[in-house]
Amino acid sequence: MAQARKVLIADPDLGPVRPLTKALRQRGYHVQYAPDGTKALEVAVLRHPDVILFDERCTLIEARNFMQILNTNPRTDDIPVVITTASRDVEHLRSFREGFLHKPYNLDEVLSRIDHLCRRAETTRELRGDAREIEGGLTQLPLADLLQILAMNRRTGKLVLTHGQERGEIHLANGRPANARIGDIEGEKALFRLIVWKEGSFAFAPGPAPSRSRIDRVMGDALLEGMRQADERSRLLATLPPLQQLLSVAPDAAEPVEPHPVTAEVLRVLNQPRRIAEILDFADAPDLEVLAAIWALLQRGVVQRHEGAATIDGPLLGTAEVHALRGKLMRGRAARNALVAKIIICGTGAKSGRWLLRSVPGLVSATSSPACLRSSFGTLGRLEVSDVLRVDFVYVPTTQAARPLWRPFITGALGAVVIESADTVLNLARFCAFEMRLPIVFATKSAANGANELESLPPSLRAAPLGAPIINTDISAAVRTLLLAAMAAPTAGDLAEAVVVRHRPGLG
Amino acid sequence: MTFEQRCLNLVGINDIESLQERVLHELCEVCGAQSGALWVAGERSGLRLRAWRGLIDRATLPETVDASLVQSSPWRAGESLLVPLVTSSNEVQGLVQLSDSISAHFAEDLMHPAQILSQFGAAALKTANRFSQLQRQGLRDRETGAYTLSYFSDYATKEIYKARRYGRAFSLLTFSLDNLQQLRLRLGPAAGRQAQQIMLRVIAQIIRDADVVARATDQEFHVLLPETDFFGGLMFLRRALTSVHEEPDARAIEGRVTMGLTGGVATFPRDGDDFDELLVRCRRRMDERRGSLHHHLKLDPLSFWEEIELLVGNSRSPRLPEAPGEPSRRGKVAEVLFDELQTEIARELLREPSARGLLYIGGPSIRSDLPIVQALESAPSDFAPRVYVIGRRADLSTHPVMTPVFLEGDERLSRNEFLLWLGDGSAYGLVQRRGRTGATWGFHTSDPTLVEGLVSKLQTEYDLQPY
Repeated sequence: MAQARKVLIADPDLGPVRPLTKALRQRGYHVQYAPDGTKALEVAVLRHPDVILFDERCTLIEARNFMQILNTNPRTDDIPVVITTASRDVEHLRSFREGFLHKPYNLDEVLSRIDHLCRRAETTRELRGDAREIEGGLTQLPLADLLQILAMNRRTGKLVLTHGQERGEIHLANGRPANARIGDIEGEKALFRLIVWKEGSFAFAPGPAPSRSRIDRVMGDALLEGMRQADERSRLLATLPPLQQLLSVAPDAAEPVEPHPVTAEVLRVLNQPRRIAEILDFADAPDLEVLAAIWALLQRGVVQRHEGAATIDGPLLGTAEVHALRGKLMRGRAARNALVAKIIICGTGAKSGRWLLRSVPGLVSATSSPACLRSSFGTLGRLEVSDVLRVDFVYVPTTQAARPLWRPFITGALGAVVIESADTVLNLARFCAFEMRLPIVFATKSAANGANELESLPPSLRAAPLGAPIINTDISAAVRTLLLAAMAAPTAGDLAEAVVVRHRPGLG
Repeated sequence: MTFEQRCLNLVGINDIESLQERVLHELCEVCGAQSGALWVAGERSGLRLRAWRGLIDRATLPETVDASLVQSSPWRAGESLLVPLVTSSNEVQGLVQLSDSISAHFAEDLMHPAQILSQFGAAALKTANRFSQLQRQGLRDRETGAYTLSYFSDYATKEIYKARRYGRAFSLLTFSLDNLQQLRLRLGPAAGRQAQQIMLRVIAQIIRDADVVARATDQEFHVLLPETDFFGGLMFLRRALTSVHEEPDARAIEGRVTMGLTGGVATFPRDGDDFDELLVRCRRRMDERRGSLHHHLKLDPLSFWEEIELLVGNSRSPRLPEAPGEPSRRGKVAEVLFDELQTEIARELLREPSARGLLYIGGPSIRSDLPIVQALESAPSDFAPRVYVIGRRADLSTHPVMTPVFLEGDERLSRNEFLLWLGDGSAYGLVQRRGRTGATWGFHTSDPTLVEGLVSKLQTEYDLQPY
């Protein structure tokens, strides 16, 4: 049977303590009481409560000292302490880790807070447990943290990472990365690819160290270098063609004299036209160096885009584009493993929703019958652009009566795809473009299932700050263009180029 | 570089920010530490975290360290080495925590060089602090004691650089005393000055050490809050405005002439990439506040339920005034909207679960089949928004991420349903009544001032905790 949760209430005033104690006991908590700081400290050390509510007016030991004493004792440093106060001046309490509760308080809210703190402490204890085998999700324990924990504990064994169909392994020897593997790629190159994984599950099994170490770095160094390379890769990828772009050696290019070993390796791989993603896989050098070499070769005209390159059949965005977009979206946000973005569909769900679900490859309906198909409000479905990036398609009602819904539900969107030309729809599109400063893509003809017959941009959308290119080929192209626009926050010229590169056949 | 050169170089640095980084860097280098953190003595008590590097998780570092706990020479704490920065006159200037030794542990022979280096570091920090204080005195506005705009612009530029470098957010706030001119004309220039000083005094009481306040014009002040997201900025704004209004001196002035204090928030990078862009966004948000229905209808003195009555009205109520701020609408409401909103807001929260926010959903009863209850069942453990469901107890008593607040016998709740949402960058409120014939009548708005006002009154009405 699970042990009862223990709560210590330290408060000189019994008035608010009685109803709280009663309510806690009714819920199965074991409640301890202390009238002053010294008694509270004694109970905290001897009984180790799960949560402490410490009133600011407790005598003998004041709140801040009480917490400092607990924090310096390894036995008590993990006990969450919530300060309670009846004072109106609470600014000085905001720095406390678990915050404060202002009296008079709502009993339900306090009970809920205590419940959450207990749950969190229990989860932390579970995660800290020195289990022989460790399993879990990367969304709960980021890979970098996990690797650091394993490194600090000098663990030896194999860490298996899985996400969807992808699988990777990191071998550790005394807390150092000894080898890594993803697909056919091994060593540091594989490690640096795996380090940026944010989603999926992990399982660490202790075992013998590999006979030969292929990575010559300590964990901290590897993590720092991996993250640095990931940042650099994203920066570089934003300047390169999409990863699915075919490249070939220019027929009239002069042969480089004594090229750098990595440059030579890239040229060797390019003995036939290859996609950038393939070059990255086939070359042994680290991805960052390979990309730098490709960039230089393209700049010098030694390598060129291979004509006839068609990327329509590939994924909506290449890996590099996904990472660049993700990097952009993550700016200023708390580190997050799973990233779900949204795009706004300017149209009426009843008309276009089912068609979108049929026409956008990979778009999975949010529920068996999304509400937006009836009311034109809500999430239609989710598109898994990659393992680390998903995009929700969201309808916002276009009527004036629903106008207060616009800003709250458009805030945070990547951009908007306009698929109808009714005035109300164009008003919404204008709001997205000018008020919310989002990139817009104007889908017409077959890209909008014929619901938008306009051939040119309506005057109200001209001069949209982040551009409003017209796409008339297919809806996937429109979505891709929007994602690229969101990635780069580009000028209109950049956008036009992105569209032409991908859809030259359709536009011809 | 020789050890002696390292020490002497520290003494030559006047810029406090660079010096802090350098002291930490040198100690890490000399001791072979992969990670380090530095706490420095400031104007207030305790040592404040000022720099960190390496593998350390920032979240695990305490913001302040009690100076009385600092020993006089380096000591070990677990795997870490703690190096005090103490001057020859025994003044504690800071503390450095070194960890993740490159050689697996910190050897005993490192103690002596660490101590010598730390003494130089302490002396340099003391000098740089004095230098910085002198510099600041020259950069302060005489009347109000706030920083000048030129200093603030420089500081903001540095902050933008740091925020970009570390992928962090910061918030810029602008406060304006809209009626300053009128106040001066009617009560004299001294009252105008007093209003400015009250505002700054109150803001100075609630800011943190790292926050910076500057005077931009006679009536406008800027505040920069490092490492603060939009929601944090918004809460600061709310606290500042409330605190000024509660100040007795401010009340005395307000009794004669309204000060017209308003404010706006913008956050890097979501609202702009440079100082000017952020300022434009701040001013725009101030304009939105000025145009709020909350001011037009003079809703301040009303209680939560009085305000609800006024806003919802009925089909015979006079039309709502057209306010230039964010829109509000009153009229018939689709019966499914309340449920759809719960589902959709839950999706919004789950898309970015670490973004802070506040959501209150009230209605006749708290049931486990409410869309929000079901939608948030799968919320991750680090779910940051606070979500409250308020109503009569039905079949739900606890929830992993929501706070049920049970109110038995409150008739007003059995007649009304409401949803108040303060998100990361926007606000929304809906209040509705279901008619006996099935028709639903309601009011909804995206006016942030109006929603904030309702949230604040709801908290007061039911003793709910402020954010």
